[in-house]
Amino acid sequence: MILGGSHISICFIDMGKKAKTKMVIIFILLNLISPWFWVLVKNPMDFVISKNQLYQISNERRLYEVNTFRGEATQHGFGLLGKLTVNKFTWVFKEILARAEESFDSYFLFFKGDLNVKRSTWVFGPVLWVLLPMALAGFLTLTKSRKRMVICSVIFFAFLGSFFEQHYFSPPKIPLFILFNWLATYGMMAFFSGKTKKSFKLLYLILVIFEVSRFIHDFYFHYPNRIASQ
Amino acid sequence: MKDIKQRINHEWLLLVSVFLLALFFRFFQITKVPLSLNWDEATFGYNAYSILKTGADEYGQKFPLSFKSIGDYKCPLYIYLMVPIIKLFGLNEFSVRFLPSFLGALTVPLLFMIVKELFKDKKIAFISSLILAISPWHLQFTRAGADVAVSSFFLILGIWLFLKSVNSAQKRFLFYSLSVISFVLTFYAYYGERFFTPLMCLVLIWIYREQVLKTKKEFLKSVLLGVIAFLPLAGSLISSGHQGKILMTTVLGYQPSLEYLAQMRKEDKNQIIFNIFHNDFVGKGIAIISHYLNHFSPSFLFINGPQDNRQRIEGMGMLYFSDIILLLLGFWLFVTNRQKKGYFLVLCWLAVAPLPAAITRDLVHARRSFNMIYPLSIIMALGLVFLIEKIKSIKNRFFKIFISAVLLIFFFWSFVFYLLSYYIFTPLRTYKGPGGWQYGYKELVEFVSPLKSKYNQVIVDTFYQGPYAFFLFYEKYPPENYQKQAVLVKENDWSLGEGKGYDNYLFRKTFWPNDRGTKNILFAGPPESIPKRDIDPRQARLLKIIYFPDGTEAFYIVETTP
Repeated sequence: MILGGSHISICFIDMGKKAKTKMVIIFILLNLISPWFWVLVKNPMDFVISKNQLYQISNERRLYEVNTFRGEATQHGFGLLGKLTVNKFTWVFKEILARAEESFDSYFLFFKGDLNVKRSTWVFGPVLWVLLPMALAGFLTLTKSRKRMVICSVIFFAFLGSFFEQHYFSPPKIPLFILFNWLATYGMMAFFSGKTKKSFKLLYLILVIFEVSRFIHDFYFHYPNRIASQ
Repeated sequence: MKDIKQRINHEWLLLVSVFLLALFFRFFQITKVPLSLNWDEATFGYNAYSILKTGADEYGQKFPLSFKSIGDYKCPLYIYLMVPIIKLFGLNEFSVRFLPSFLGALTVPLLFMIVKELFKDKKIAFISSLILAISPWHLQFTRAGADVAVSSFFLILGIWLFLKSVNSAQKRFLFYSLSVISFVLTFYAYYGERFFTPLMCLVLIWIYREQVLKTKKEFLKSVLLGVIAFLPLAGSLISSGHQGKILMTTVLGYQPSLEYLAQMRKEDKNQIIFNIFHNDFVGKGIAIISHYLNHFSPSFLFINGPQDNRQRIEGMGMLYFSDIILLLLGFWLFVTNRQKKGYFLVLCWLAVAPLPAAITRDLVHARRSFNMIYPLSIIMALGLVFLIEKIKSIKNRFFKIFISAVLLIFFFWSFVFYLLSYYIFTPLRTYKGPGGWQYGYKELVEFVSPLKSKYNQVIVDTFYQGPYAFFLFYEKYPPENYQKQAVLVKENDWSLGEGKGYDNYLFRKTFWPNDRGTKNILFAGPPESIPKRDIDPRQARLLKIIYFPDGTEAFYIVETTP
C-alpha cells in the first residue's frame, strides 16, 4: 500500500478480502477528510521543497547561540564543561532530535500545523484530533502483532522532517500524516468490529462527522480570510 | 534472622541514600538559584511572618483559610507550616524555600515506598526514586517556594498510606484515616489539587474496589473523618474570592473578544452556522483537549518546556533529553502490562495528572501538571530496568560496550546540560518581571530603606509588579503596623493587585513628566518609566542604578530637589 511493497506485511494482518477492501476505503476516506490534504490541494506550490530549505549546520544564529552559552559557562568557571556540552556537534544533534520530536507535538498535529498559513489552517493541524484514540489503538494492535516495521516507520518518517531548517515544516512530514491515518484506520476497524456498545460507536461517529464539518466550515468560511490577513 | 536484618538495613540504606541525594540537589545554593524571590514567595513569607507576630494575615484577618495577599487568595497550608520555620530561621529567603525543598526531598523516599507497594520490586522502586531525586521538573518546583511542592508531598503520602491500608491486614483504620487526612490537606495546600485529588482518589478506589469493599467499615469511618477535616475549608470554597480565582485562571471564565466574535459572525454570514461552530461549549471543549494533549508533547517534555519564565529551564523541556528513550521503553511495557493493577494505576495517574492544567488558560503549565512527574518517573524506571536487561543480554561484547557507552554519554550530556542551564543559563534569562524572578527588589530595598526618612515620600514604580511585597519582606516591617494601612489596589476585578503603600512609601506607576516637578521625593523605577535623558539636574539627581544579572539596567533611584 502506501508504505510500499516491502512493507506490505504491516498493512494487513490476518484479514479477509472483504475486510481488506473495507480498510482501504476507510483509509482513503480518512486521507480525503484530513486537513493536510485539503490545504495541499488548495496551495500545492507552497508544499514544494527546495534545496535552500534544508538544514544548515553552519547557520549564523546557531553559531551565535553556541558561542553565547559557552561564553556564559566560561564566565562562571565551567568553560570545559560548556565546551563539552554545548558545541556544534551536540547542538546539531539536539536540533535534529528536537525537529524529529516536533512531529509528535500535539499542538502541531491537531491544532496549529505548519507555521506558514498557506500550509495549514492554523485552527486545525494536518490531522484530526478526533482520530488520535483510533491511531493509538491501531498502533497498539499493530505493534502487539510484532509488526516492528510500524515502529520503525514512525521513527523514520518523524526524522524525515529533521533535515529542514524551518521548525514544524509540514511537507516532509506528509508520509507521517498518512501513516497516522493508516493507524487510525486499523483502530477504527477494531473499534467498529469489536464488542464496544453501539451507542459509543454512534457517539464517536457523530463526533467525527462534527469535527470534519467544523474543519470544512473553517476551510471555506474563515481560512481564506486568514490567508489574506497574513 | 540475620538475613531479615540485612534486608532491612539494605532497604534503609537505599532510602537514606536517595533521600540525601534529593536533599543535596534541593538545598544546594537554595538562596542563590533561583536568584531572587518572586512576589509569590515574598507574600507567602510575609503572611507567615504576620501570622507568627499577630495571628492574622497582612490585612488583619485572624487565622484565615484563604489568604487574600495580592488578590490571588492563596491556600493556607504552606503559610501556616512556614510559621515555625520563620520563628527558627527568621524572615529570609532560606525560610521561604526550606519547606518545599525539605518536603520535596521527603517525597523521594515516599515514591520508593509507593513503587515497592505497587510492584513488590526494590530495584524499580529505587530507580524510580533516583530518577525523581534528580528530575529537572521536580527540582524546578521543590527548590523555589512553591505551594505545589507542599501539596504534592501530602498527595504522595496519601497515596502511599492508601496502598498500605488496602495491602495490609493490620491497622487498616489508622492507615485509611491518615491517608484521607493527607488527601484533605492537599486541598488546604494548592488550588490545582482541589480538582486533582478527588480524581486520584476515585481512581484509587475504583482500582482497589475489591479491597475497599472488604474493609468498607474502616473505609467509611475514615471518609467521615476526612469530611470533618474538610469542613473548615468548605466556607472558603464558596467565597467570592475562590470563585473569582476559578474564573480568572480557568477556561470557564474565558470569553473571546467581541471583535473576534463579530469577525467570525461576519464571515459565517449565517447565525445558525455561527451558533453551531463558535459556541462556548465547542470553543472551551477544544481548548481543554488541546491543553491536555500539550502536556504529553515532546515540545513540552523535552525541547522547550513552558514559556513562563518561572517554570522554564533554558534550552530544554521538563525532562532530560535522554529520558525519551526510557520513557518510550517504559511506556511500551506499561501499555502491554496494563491489565496488572500496579501498571494500570500508574497509567491512570498519568492520565488524570494534566487535568488541572488542561482546564486553565495556559497552553501548558508545568506547575499545575506537576503530578505527572511521579508516574513518569515510575515509567522511566521500568524503561531503564528493561534497557539494562536488554543490554545485558547482548552477546557481542564490543556491541554491548558500544551501546552502553553511547547511552551513558547521552545521559551524562543531558544531565550536565541541565546543571549548566539551571545554574547558569536560565537565571540569565528569567530574572525579569512578575512572570520571572523579579530580580532587583532586594538590592532596591537595601539601598532605599536606610534613606527613606530623609524624604517626604518614597515612590516606587509598579512596572515590575509587587514592590510592596518585597519592601514588607526585606524590611521585616511589623505586621501589626501594616495591617492598619493595608490597601490593595486592583485595576479591575480580574487583575492581581498592588499594595498601595505604608509609612511614606507609595507604590504606583510613575509619570515622569509630572513627577519630576515634585519636591524632596525619592523615586525608584525602571528606565522605561524614568528615562535617563529626562533626569534634569536642576530638578532631580540620579543616586544609583541597580543592574540585572546580565548587566542591563533594572532600577534608577532618583531624588527630586528639596
